[in-house]
Amino acid sequence: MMSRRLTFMKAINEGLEQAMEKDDRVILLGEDIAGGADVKHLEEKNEDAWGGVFGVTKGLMPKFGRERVIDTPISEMGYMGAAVGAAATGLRPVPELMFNDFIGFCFDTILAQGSKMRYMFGGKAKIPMTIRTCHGAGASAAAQHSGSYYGMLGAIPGVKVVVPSNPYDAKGLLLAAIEDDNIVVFSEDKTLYGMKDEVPEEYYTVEIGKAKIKREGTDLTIVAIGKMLYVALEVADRLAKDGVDVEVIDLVTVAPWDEQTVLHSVKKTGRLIVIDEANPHNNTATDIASVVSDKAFDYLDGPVKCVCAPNTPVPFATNLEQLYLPNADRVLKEAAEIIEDLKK
Amino acid sequence: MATEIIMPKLGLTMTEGTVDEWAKQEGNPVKKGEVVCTISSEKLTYDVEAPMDGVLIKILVPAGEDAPCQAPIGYIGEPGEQVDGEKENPKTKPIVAGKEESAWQTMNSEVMDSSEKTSGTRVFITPLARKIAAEKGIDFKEINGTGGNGRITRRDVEAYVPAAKPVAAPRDTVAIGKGLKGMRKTIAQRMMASLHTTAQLTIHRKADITALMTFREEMKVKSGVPLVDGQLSLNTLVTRAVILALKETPSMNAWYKDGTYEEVNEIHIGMAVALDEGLVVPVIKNAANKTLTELGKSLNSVIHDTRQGTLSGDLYTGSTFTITNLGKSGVEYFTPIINSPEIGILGVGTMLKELALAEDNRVIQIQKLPLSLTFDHQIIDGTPAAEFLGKIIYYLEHPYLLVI
Repeated sequence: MMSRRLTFMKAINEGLEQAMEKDDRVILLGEDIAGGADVKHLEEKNEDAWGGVFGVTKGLMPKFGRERVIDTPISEMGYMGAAVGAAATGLRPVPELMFNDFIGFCFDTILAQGSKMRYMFGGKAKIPMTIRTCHGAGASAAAQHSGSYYGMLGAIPGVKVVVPSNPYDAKGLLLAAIEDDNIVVFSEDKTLYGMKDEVPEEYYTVEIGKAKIKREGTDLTIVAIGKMLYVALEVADRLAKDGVDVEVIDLVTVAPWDEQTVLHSVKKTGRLIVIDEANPHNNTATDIASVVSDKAFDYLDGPVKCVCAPNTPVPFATNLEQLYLPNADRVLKEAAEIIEDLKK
Repeated sequence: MATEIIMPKLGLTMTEGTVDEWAKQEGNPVKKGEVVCTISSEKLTYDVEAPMDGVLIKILVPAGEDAPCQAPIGYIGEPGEQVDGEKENPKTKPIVAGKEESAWQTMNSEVMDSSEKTSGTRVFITPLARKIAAEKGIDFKEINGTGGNGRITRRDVEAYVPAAKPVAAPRDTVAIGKGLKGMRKTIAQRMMASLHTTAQLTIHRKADITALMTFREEMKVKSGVPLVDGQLSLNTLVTRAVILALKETPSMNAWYKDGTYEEVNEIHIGMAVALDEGLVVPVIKNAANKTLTELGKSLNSVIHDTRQGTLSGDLYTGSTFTITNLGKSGVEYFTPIINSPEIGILGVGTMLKELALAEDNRVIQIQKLPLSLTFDHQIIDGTPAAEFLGKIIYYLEHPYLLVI
């Protein structure tokens, strides 16, 4: 039975709930993730507690208590460091970084400590920690709340990064991330929170490191990350009218991304477009282009095209913000040289 | 009624000419005898004159284009007159491709000038297409690329159908003389045509001309007639010897062209003359009917006119045998190329002084002339060709026969 539909946000909420039910070592930490700490009438299992800035964790504090759903001071370094320590000493913390743009405050705990401990201690310490954060432009949240930095985090050895594109994957990936004994960054696109889709009620996981072929095709491969999947699908729809058969891959995991699926597809079609909302340099798209050019050189029937955000912060003005985001028109224009001759 | 201006036929072998320049434009008045255009053919340029008074009403063959001999290249008529029947340019018109260029193709051509691609300097091909082409054994340079930047893609390789090639690919005659102009181009084409259509063989032998040179001195002294310089030149004497030998060897005084072999009754001697622009071969017509001094005069006259550029057009073609002389350059033997459609050509080398034993065993000085005869083995075999060269030498060694 898969008739039940949940929003992206509710799917994450349900995933957290099921993880906490299954394993009492799972704790949540973050700013306002419960809401109302030290506010007298909101203390203790208040059903009206905010549940995070977007309400993703709403209802979890009343259910599991403030011992496991911890409102922290506004100190990313403090609670992220606490999470790393908790993970190293036996818990499975799920800290929330409210916006990925705030990574600078707590980067040391991830970059210099959390990601290196297992390696430096010869495997004797594990850091089973899932960092929930959100990225993405389109919410008119201005430059400091709209960036997409999953690629940056994915460049760190020992850190896994997943970017779900739909409610089903959001729940399954989150549960897989919490089960994982390494640091996993679970990056949610804030503009997808309201998206509804079928989500199983039971506990399930979606494999980390495995991309999903969303549409099969033979002429051209488009790899997309997160909500860029919907840009890719629109491109595929529009090109189908011209007789171009596009294969669309949802990358799902940014680090380690699924070389096997991408290379297999490129070897079939000979052509590749990568759509990544990140800024255009040193991002996941450029990494994919580099690996494909290396490992599938003899199969390429054209240059690999990367369609990304421009090399600027995200604009606040909504009209400029829409220009900033990759869209189907831009993909068709920027990758025209590997598209036009396919049209029948 | 308009009058045609025709492409003149200036020689036996001329089949078409090129309009170099129109001296008059459409609408210009012309007088009979006035130069209307310049044409070039074979080895010369020629001014075409207006056949009547009137107006140049139509140019059929613009400058730079070719027309067959006797074909109209323009019309002269009354002012405002229309050419009846509007005759077409004798050359086939190029087929104009009516295909519309899409925005994408325009964009492509902006990326790369199409001439750069067709000139073969750099062919763009994707790695995949290159691999498939290699597997199929296709020379990808022949494939038309439709991808971005005009590059060849997998689909281009897969869609490529190799042009059917004839079993024996004919020589690309168009390419001969390509990139050359005017006389150089004509020489290139004619030399290559000669080598491609004949079986050329060159034999060499020296003539003892000691007696000839003595005879020549005696003639100069005893003739009593003041001889213009060169009238009794060695060149004249050799030419006379060749003429006498040709009279006895009709197969050497012949033409072989396009499958037709023809022995020619008259003897017309071509004399190779080096100009700065290239080699030309003016002709001494009916050379057999000339006395030695007449022959000398004719030789001097055509060579002079050729160098001045005033030689009459009909004296550029029609020779039946050609003589070429590299003696002045110190060359002894060489392998001249037949002036097609002729059968033979004689190369004259530089006069040599040699020591020899006389009949009484004295060592004497003699003068020798190296001769090189190239002939077309299709028409004449080695032995008769050697006999022909022997006859020339016999006449040179028995100089009194030259004046009989």
